Amino acid sequence: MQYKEAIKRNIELLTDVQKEAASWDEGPLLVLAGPGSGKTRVLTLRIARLLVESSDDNFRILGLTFTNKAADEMRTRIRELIPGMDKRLYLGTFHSFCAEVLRNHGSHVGVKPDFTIYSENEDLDEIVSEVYSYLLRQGKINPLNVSKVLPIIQYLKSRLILPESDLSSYISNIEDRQAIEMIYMNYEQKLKDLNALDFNSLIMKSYELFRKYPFVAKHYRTIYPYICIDEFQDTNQGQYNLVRSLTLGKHNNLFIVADDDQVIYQWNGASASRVEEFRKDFNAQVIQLPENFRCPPEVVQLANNLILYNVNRSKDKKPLLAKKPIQDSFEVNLEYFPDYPTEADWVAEIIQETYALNQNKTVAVIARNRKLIQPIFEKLKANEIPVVIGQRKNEFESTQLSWVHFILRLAHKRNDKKFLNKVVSNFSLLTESTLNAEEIIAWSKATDGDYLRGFLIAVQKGILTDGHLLKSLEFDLVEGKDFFRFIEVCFGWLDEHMDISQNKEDVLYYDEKRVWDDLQSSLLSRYDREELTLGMFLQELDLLSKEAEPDGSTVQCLTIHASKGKEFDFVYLVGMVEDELPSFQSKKKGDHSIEMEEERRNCFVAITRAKEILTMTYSERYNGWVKQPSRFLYEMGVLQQND
Amino acid sequence: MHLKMVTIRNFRGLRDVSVPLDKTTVLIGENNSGKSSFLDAVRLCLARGGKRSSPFDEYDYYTNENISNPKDTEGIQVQFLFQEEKPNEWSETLIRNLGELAQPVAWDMNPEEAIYTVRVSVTSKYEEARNDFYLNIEFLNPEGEPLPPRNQTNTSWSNFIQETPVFYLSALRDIKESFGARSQFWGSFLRNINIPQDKVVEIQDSLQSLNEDIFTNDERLEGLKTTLENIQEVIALGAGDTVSIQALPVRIWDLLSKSQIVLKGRGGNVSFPLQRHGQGTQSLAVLFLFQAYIDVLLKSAYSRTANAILALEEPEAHLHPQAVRALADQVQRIDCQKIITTHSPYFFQNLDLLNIRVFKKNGSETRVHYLKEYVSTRVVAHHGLERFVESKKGKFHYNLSSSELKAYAPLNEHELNALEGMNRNSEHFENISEFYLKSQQILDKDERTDLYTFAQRTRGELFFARGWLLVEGQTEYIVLSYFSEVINKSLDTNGVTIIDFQNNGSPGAFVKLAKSLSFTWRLLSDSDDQLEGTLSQIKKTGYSEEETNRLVKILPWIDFETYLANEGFINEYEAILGDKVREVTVPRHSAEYPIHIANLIKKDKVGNALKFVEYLKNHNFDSRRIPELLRQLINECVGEANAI
Repeated sequence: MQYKEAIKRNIELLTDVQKEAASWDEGPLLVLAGPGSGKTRVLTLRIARLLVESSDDNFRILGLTFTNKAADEMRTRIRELIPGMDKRLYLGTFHSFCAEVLRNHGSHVGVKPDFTIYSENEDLDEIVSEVYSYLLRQGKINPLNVSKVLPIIQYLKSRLILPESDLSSYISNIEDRQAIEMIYMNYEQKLKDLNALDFNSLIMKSYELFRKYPFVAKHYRTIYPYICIDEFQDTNQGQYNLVRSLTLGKHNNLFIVADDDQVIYQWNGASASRVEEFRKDFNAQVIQLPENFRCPPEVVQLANNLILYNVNRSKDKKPLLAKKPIQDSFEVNLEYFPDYPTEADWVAEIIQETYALNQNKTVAVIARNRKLIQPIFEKLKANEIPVVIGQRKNEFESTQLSWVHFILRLAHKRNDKKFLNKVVSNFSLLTESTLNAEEIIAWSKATDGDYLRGFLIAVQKGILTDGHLLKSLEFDLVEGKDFFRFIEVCFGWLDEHMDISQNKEDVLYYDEKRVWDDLQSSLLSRYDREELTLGMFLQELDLLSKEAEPDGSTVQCLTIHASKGKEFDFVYLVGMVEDELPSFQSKKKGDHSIEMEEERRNCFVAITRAKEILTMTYSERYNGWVKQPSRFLYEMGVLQQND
Repeated sequence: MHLKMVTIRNFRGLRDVSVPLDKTTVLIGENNSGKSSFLDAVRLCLARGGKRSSPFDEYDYYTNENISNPKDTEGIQVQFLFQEEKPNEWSETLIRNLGELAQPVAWDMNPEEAIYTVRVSVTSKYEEARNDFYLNIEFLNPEGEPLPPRNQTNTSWSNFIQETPVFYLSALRDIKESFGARSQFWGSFLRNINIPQDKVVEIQDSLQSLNEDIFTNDERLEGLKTTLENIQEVIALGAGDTVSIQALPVRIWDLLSKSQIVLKGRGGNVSFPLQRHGQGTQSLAVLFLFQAYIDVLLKSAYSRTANAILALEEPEAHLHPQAVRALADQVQRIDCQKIITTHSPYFFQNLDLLNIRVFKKNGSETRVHYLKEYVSTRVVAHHGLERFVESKKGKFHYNLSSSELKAYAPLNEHELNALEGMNRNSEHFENISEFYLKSQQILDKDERTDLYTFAQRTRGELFFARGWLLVEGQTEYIVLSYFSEVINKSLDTNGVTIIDFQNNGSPGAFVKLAKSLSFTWRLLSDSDDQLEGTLSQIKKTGYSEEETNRLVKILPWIDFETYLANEGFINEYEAILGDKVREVTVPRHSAEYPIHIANLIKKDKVGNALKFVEYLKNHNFDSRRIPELLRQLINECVGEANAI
């Protein structure tokens, strides 16, 4: 067992507390892990150790994360530790796990195994509008601001509030409440008719399933006697209830990693007290990992100074301990400007200077909100510095990728009008042809109802001249022989097309094609090519973000929320004034409100992204208004009250 | 994993059958009734090869006079349902092995708890586009929808098949094949023999020296060797001793592959290899070998939690009746699920009636009949229902989530009325009377015991008959058999069994059994006190007035003897009685005379019935004298039996 030895050696290299956590076997455990404390390392080593030590057993381990990226990263690390032994491990986000649960056992709550996931708000809004105008026509509701409805429904669903529940504590106006109740109910019905679920339904329906049919939860406890949850502090009430209904308090091997000082999703239902709640509900042991291996000691000091101002913290929480060896390059800077344009220019310029030095350093610009980032992003872009704004992308945006994705979806669901429309419109853009989706539908309905075949017949009439692609479309896709070969042929054709012109659209194409290639090879590393059916491929694709992973030399412009879980050599935290960080809304709630504490945690998260240099900037005026320096600058001790 | 139900569509003669299976299930039925097709469907679909290549050939697709080309058929569909009998039957290890294939569903008896199921669908159909028959194996959820693709992989299938290996032992078990070095069971044992390496060397050395001993003790062999060595001069061979003669295999595996089982017969003192014993002994040996395989090797060859299915065809072949009975007990002891076809009444003598499935051809398709332990229907959740079910103590069971009501015994009128009352205004109302009727076919425990004692144990052959003629006593048995032969409609050769129900429990139990197992039947009854009771038992089983009138023939007299005496057989009876006739005091022409004669005859019913038949045989009996009622009865029985 060479892996057993290797794991042992790896664990030996840990600090004592890390070792204790990585060697944890049974019983509920809360690992309170500060930023940069090596928690992923501890988590992956523990999982690898459990798998290796039980190689004759057949139980599985469930690892839940909040992002696919985190799951992928953990999977990669575990594969490096114990190649080929991760078959007994399910690593995924809450949402992908719930999708799995519902595909396998959803029939108890009326969910079919082959449901589609609607991840785009655009699609969901369409459903809301459809339902709204229907109800309006029927005279069942009075007009209201329809654009507000989807966010309200999503808010309710994320809190597991079903349409039939009493909504009076959420919507005070009776008329609005009744209208929303009705729209919500019809919205759910419509999704059901479409055999579709939105993201919130994944959690909500799984929760309903576990609660109404406890034996399904028991089934998962049998299969997965070990459950690990990363970034537990981010769970909202819905997700926490899901975990509780899954474990039913009888599950002793729940291993969670959390930091209540990094809760920044309160607005989405996360809560600083969740960690404490878990500790009580599960009577969990606690191991603290306060050692910080990421940030310069000075940053650690600032973080410790700052977070002490929060009162709602885990009891006996230890301050961070700076463990990173001191380097000459370490710096903490504070810069002051007359107004935000000057501040933004300065940041862009200094980044440009840094970039010119080509030091191979990773750089991030971080701010409380998107608005602050935008001017810096524009500036860097104008100066031809590689830069991205971090955001989740649920659908491909380039015409090319969108076409490939939708034609595959159509191949899987041959009579879907929406898919055909997208295929036709993207294809028309690509080839400057004039195809008519309605004609294809009419023709298909008269024959076998297969819109994809209809599309093939339509493009065969001289519209698509590439014989190779036509043949592949016919055999590999319409006749279902090998959709991977079709993808390959398709990209070959698109690449050829691209060479003609180098416009903006094409850059997007190459970026997204890289994402596609990554996603495809990630899936192929998890499944045999033969086993990966089109349906499965599309289902997996649905849950993945289509955002490109920037390479190391690209400057990342991030909101604090998007920066979570990442680290950079140089961090520029901009807009450090009252009304930005802390936000205007939190100030309205009061200086000692939980909202204000969340702002403080935002600041805590932002500064602890820095590995070498932390630069904070602020200005006198924003949009012409005079703003005071952020209170957090004082609390951290970088500004003194009399400065 | 227990295989609970198999549903087969369009496989050979099985157009649409659903067969529930028990721990031991016995399939009976005439030749060609579809039993073997059933076993074949099970073993072909659950074969290890599985997902990629179709196990079917084109003759396997059900065809009939309308569709004769297998390419045009709807295709074969086979569904398997594996299910726990009660919660927590399957081990954690098994459930983990199965993963998401194991689907928990609410348990009927207590919806708070779940029982696990695995559903598998195997379909094969001709596909125009591929110009080929394709095979599709899918795991299903409780709604019958395919599970997501992630759980339909080859890995899922091979993991699953590890849990439920199917073994097939045919009627003609070839001893040479079964005990050959490459055979499934014996070969596995041989391959699993584990001798330590140093011991191997030792044994091989002694084999070598044994070889030399044999060799050196015959000079002619030495001479042969020398001659053979001349080969070297023609073709180049390796250095050293190039030619050797092996009297014995010198490698252990060679030796083991020639291992054989030797039995000593009773009374003899010479041991014979198994091949030299009778076919029956050989068949038995194969079965015992299988049992040993299950006990010793199954869990290492398959999954630790594997539960084998044995498809066993006609285990009784070539065996003595006593041996068949013993074999039946032995087979029950094999630790696996068994599906057995048999033509031997001895074989299922001691089995539970509930385990029997009767296969019958109906036109070109097979129907399967069996006794039901319960019947069910949907009813509304009425507030009185719970109390009703409660008060009947185990006779009923209601499942709230599926609103299914089960009855484990025949309903009475009161219960029918009560249930109809509760469902008066519901969509289920009309089903209640049907539920009532169906329930009448349920045999209660006493009836089953009666049938076991009187029919199954001693007259097992009646389960193999094409039709039954139920009569009151042995007289009818003897006389009707003879009459049927005289008119060339022999009941025996036409597969009609005569059952004298008076000595064998109640006619009602037989009628229920006949109805459940779909045997055609006729009943001949006297006009006596019991007639009313018999008729009402029959009607309760679900026969209409009209049907009952057709199926039941009533003698216009108090018993069969009196009937014959009045139907012109008075001379024969007088001849049999001889001097005893004088005991009759009424005048010979009076109406009472035949009755008095019959009363004398009845003093030794069976003896006189035999004499009666003997007398008719010796006196050139004219078949036209057979009373019309009996002639009609015989004709109907034979006619219907042959109509099947």
